[in-house]
Amino acid sequence: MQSRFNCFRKDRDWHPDEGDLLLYLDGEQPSRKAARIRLHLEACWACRVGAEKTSQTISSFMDYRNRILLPSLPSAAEHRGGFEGKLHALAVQTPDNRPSWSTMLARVRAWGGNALRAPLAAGVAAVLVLGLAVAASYVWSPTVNAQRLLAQASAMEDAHDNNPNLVLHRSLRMEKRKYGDKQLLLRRRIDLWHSGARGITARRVYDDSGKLVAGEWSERNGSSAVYETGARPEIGTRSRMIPKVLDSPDDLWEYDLSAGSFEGLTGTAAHARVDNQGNDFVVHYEPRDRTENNRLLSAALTVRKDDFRAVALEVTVREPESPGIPAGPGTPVVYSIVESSFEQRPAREVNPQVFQTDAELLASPLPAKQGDAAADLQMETTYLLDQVGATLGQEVTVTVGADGKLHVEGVLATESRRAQIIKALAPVRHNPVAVINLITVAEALQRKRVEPAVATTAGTQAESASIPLFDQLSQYFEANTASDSSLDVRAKIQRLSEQVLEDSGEAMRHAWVLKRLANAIPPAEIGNLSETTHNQYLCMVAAHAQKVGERTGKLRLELAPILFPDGISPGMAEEGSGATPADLTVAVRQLFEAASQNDAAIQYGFSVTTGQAAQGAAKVQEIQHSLLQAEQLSKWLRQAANAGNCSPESQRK
Amino acid sequence: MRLNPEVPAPAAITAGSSVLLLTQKPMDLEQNVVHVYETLRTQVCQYLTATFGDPAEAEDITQETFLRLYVHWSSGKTIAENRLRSWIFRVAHNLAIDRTRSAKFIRELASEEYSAAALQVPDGGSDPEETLLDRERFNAVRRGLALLSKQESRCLHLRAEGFCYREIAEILNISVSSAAEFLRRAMRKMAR
Repeated sequence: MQSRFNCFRKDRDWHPDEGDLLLYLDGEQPSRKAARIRLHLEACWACRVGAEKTSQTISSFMDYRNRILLPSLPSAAEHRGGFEGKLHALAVQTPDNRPSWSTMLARVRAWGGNALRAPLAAGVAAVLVLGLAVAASYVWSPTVNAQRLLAQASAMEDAHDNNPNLVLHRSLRMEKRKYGDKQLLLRRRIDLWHSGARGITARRVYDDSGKLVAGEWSERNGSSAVYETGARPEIGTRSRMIPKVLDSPDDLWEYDLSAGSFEGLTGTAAHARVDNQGNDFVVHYEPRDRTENNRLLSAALTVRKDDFRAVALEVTVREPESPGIPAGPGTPVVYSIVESSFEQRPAREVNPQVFQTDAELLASPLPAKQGDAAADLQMETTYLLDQVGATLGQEVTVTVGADGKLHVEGVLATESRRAQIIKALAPVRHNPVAVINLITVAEALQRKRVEPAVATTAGTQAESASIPLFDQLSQYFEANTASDSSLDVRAKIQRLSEQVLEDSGEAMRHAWVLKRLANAIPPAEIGNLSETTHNQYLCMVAAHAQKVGERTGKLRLELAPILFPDGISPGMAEEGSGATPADLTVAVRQLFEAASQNDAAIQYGFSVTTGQAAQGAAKVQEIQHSLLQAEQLSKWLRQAANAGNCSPESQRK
Repeated sequence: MRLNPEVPAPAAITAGSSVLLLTQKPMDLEQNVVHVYETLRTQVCQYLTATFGDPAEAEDITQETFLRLYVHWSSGKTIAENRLRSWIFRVAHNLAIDRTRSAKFIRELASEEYSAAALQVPDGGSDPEETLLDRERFNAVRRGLALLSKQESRCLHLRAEGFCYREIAEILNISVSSAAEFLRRAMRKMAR
């Protein structure tokens, strides 16, 4: 029985110190000592309590660490995008993995281990020295892989293009020169705006005299509308850009100065070469197919090293056979696009009008008086489209082409939407003058698949942010909220902001329809319309002006008690009866301006941003002024249009 | 960044073992570094913040650490599987020390911030007594942490990350017995 309780009596005068106990608890003691301590703890209550106390200290620390410390530390999750960018940039500039010196020497040693004999020693040594010299240049000359460089640059472009807080503005210079003597044949200036939030790119082309000669408005889904003075708009997709610019290189202005587009032009760029030139990389590409079937002779893209932005492109192409071109058919010509300025602006600071189609490009391509029948048909078609909301957002365009026909074109989101619009166009669909070309986005993409826009995972807004008018809104809601919960106030501010932004955006959509209507038909020709189409025109103006008025009135009611506590009044609208169409057109443009200003001020004041609270107050007066003006003008327009005998009956004709 | 979906992800990296692929195409290597970064970045960043302060600097150093991993691998060098994690912590630690020396770290241990956080102990449930006890306990830990030297604090946090004494010694460039001693002192101060 004694042996049952007589455990390690001989060790009872020895006690592990706290260091030993900690090492034991951490599994760091050698096995023999660990066994000794384990047995001792079984026998010694004092040491066991000491060990348990250490365990409790560890437990408290870990609890504190997990519940308090770690949650208060940054998760670093939001930095992934930035890290990938840095890593990719590093990868591009890091030489490919080469055999190391040690490996090479080991190989040489292995090869020569038994072979090296005295007579050969001198020769082998010479070869070795030469080999090492070659290897040194091989190892220490960084080579940049074109595909990786373009992929990196493309990733950076995607990140820029999709940043909702920024608007990109670039100025480019395009030149066309003879291949041999570099004689200048053509020069254009390209002005490009891109909104990351809206996914819209507006590209304007100016000739040497600074006159706007063409423009392209494209959207993130690939749809594109190209306007050139004297030609009817081309509605299509950006996917057709590459073959188009090769067939008609003067249209190179439509081409993006970007790594992504360069990849599209050169295929995979698998055999492209990269030159390291100072602050730039230059990717040179020459197609292997040198036959006449291939118009592209060479291409070179310059990419800046510091931000991987494409800043210059030079392409040499065979001029397509076409009369009147000085270089002659099949003659090589050199096109270059060079960036002359680049800026990124906060979206809120950019006037939305830079994304609007210019009136001179929208003007009818038939400067001569168009036939009354065509004008009537144009107005009737626009009216029919308006009835199904297809004029909102410029889904479908209606233009009179150089062929004298009415072209109804659009790229629609879905098949059902196309069916709806075609049904709406039934009254004009069989008119021989009407050419209807409506395709879905899917069809457009099928013609030549474009690479889908890559949704950026980086750059999510992680900053603590607010809206510039937060202080004013907060004061109002705190004074008018029974609960003292700051959450209630924040929720109310958020709800109001969302509502205000939606109302302003909706007003803007209708203002756009009005502007396009005003641009569609010159004021002088409105009087020549048939009574029915004239009424339809006025009805559309009245209806959309009413929508603008409704939304701006709603905005005024929503914002007045908060931002204009002293009250504002829309004022008495001027009498609109008897107004001439020219007045109506002017009023439409003024209304559009007012709605644009209002939308810009509201977007600024109510969109989440950082550090702008101090400037929020400055927008209050601006909002007040533009709201008042828009509401007055819309009322004036509605009255003027109604005075033009617009009635529900006539609308249904 | 466009990842190649056909490239298999490397095996999971756990606290005890790490797996890495050393002879790969560049894009594979990048993806693997990203994978390791995603696996370990939070631990590294939190360790740096807890022991050096300034979260922004900590994140910067964390990223630099993984970029160095890429350079290390792309130059053909290897890291033993079971040493990858301690390699990363060691590089991060050394980078942080370098920055501390060059006074780039704006703040040393920002214990005040964590003290403030400790005042907001989450409810342990509906029991106010439990919440009060938690608060007392955490205050005691906080007081103990405030007494620690830099090395004691680093050893403690690395131990909490699961590193053994040898690894802690490697990361901090000290002997194993020094690591043990720093930990012993840390525990003693914490237990007061």
